[in-house]
Amino acid sequence: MQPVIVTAADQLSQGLFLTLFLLLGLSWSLNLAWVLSRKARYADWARKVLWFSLAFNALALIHRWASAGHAPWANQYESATMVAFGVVLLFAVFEREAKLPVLGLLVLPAAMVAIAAANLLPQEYKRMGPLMPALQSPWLKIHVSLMLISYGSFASTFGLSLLYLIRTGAWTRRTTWVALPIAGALGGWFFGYVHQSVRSDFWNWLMTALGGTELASGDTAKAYLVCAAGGLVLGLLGAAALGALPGRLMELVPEAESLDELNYRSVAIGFPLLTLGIILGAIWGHLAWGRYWGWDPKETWAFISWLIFAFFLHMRVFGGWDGRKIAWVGLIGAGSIVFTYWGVNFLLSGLHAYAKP
Amino acid sequence: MSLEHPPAQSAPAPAVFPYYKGTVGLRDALLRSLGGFKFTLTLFGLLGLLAAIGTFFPQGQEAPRIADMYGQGVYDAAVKFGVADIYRSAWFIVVLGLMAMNLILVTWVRVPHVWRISRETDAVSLKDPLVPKTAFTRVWETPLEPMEALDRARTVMLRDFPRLAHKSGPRKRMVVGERHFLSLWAAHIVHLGLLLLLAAGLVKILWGSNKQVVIREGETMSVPIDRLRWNFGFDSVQAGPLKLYLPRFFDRVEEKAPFQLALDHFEVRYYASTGAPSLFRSDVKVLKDGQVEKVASIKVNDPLEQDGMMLYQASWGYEGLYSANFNLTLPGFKDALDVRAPYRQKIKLLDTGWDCEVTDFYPDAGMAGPGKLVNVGDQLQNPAIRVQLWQHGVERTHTWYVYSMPDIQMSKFPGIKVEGKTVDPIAFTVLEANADPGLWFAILGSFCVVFGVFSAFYLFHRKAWVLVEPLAHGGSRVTLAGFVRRNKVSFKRVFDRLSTGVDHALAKGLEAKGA
Repeated sequence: MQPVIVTAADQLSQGLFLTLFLLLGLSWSLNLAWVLSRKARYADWARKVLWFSLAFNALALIHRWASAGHAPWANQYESATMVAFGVVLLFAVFEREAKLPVLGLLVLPAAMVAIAAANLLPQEYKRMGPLMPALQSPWLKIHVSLMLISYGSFASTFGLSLLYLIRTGAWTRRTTWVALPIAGALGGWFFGYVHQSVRSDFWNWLMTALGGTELASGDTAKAYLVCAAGGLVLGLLGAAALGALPGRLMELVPEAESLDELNYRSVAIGFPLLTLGIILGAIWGHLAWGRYWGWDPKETWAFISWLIFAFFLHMRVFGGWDGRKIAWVGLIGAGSIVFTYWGVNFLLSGLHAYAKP
Repeated sequence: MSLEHPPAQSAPAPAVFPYYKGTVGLRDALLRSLGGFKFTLTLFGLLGLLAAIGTFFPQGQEAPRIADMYGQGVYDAAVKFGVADIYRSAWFIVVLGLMAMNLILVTWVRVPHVWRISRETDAVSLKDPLVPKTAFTRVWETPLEPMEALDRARTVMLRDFPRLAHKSGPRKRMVVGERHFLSLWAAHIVHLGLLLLLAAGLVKILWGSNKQVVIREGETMSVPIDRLRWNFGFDSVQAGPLKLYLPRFFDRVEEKAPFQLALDHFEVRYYASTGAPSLFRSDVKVLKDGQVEKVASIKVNDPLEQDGMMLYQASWGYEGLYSANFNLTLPGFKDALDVRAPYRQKIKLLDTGWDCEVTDFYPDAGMAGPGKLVNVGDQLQNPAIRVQLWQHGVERTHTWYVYSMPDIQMSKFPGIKVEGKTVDPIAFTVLEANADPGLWFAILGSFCVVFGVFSAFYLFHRKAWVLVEPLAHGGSRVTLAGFVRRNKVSFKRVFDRLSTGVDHALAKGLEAKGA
């Protein structure tokens, strides 16, 4: 195995994205300050920092593009930075039009988690590498960027669906106390699985701390359990934090009807992008692999996500479903997008296995 | 001047599926069930579920891995229920078929309805300009003559509706502007696109061909192609104690494409920085009747098109050698000989009395047990050569030499020692040879889906018109009206702009008249 060489350009690029993480965290904190204090200046500053973050994200991507010599979405780390760009771009546009800074509390963490999770990967997953032959195509710039921005746009769908459910009382405190710990535990387990599969520093540290070895499956299971327990604790803390908010939150959230309309509009942005991304991917597949559709896990899960949002649109436009059911479908769709993006890369194998070096 | 300016009203929400109202009989019952909305949603769910299941089980040739992942019992069940090759299983194809039928039936029942709507909006007439669904209206009475009022309103309308239709009667005149008429049909364009994509898949299954051709450097190979041959009849299938006769419509025969391929050279390049591959390239000649017709390179992302077939770079590896270079120490000789041996050719080792031959080559040697060397791959990961030795024409020994383990000498014959230096392996390329007559269906279908989806979300059918009629006491009545089925919020802005524009235009007309 060749040693992993981290260049100065790599370090600068990773530093830029870490700074972006901090900027997004600042914008999120300002939104929270606005929610807690109702002082308009916090919301104004949150908006300013958000737009600055967007410009900063674009600059960081341009720097990486120039340094790597190819579009910066050729591995897991790079794709995460592009997803973050999609999340922030779509949220910034929404926020500008709908003046809904409270949505940022739910949407911005998606971008932050994407960047943080990518940053925790080992260096060989993060550094700028040359393109493998399959990725040496102009379609990389078009297909992958469209898919990643569409993934990002569905973060707004997630936030708006959740806000709608909270606003209408369909998402109760009990739901929070059940859903967040479960999501946390599953997330923790997946976090452990990813780090075990990439043999990250975190995983090595955890195994050492537990006094285990990779060869003993019991030790690995114990480490997974620790990760899941960590996620569970975070979920419980999150539930406690959210439990303190709703009373104040609701006064700042628009009427359910407006949220439903905004939710529809977020899908109206993401769905066409997802459709176009899938179709352009099919064209690329035809040129590179000789088939435009091969039921590869990535393709299949993108198609499943497309079906879920097609269901969302059919039910909303023709099916006469009320906003609550639609919002639940929105949450399921957002979950499917997360699985398509992260889950498929690490849990399933296939031709789209570019996440790994 | 303005007589009335009622607030923008919302048109009554259309009833859900009005086309089913009052339907009776078998035909309508079938339409209602198989072309129904609930059935569409059921198929969405079923298709999504089956597609998802397939991603958790290795498919097709990879299916035996299911036994390693989940156990033999699960593998057996997966094979039995078609899960091991779910996307080609009969029931998956049935679901796709039902989806196609559902799309056709939805189109069948829905198109007349949309046609009616489009005719309805087209029915704006001098007689009845305010069609029932007109959502926006404003009326003025002005001393201006009808022709002048219409001219001024027309100028305003042109800003938002570049093309205007003119209608005129004995007393009334009107201009009608319409945009994005196509968006009324957006959903059906998407449905048509999906049908075309399903048709593309069907055409590919029936008339397409997907074969692989493996060619070693220096070899010439025919390219296989699957052809469909209609062959009606029955096949008997034993199902337990029963012998079933199932209809057969066609079978497949493998033929040769009207050209051959010769591989001159296969090249792999690597990035110096990471050691990762940077290029796979097959330099080929296309031969017809023994004559070279074309010289081409096939790379990943850069296939070769030939006689309706596409040839893709799929895989590669090594099989056999041009030659191997090694040092050979023989019993009774102090110095090792520097041997360059062509593959599978016995060579005389100077005047030593010994002959040798490289009889076998493994590009990726591995141990299958104590002392048992096997080849485990076709990439040049761990090359090994087998050297056979004769002394005075009598076979004495053979030995394997593994290049990554130079210290291990496998020959039991005393004094024999092989030290490998280089190997010059023969590369082979694996090309995917595809023929897909359904490709144009797929391209057209993709275009329809994308165009339909974007039209549905970003084009809003809108219509506005101005009707001018003379008043009994002189002057004219000007009616501005508009119609939109979706996105009323956005259209209200357009209508307000038009309304303000007409207002100003009429006022300016009056000023001019006064002057």
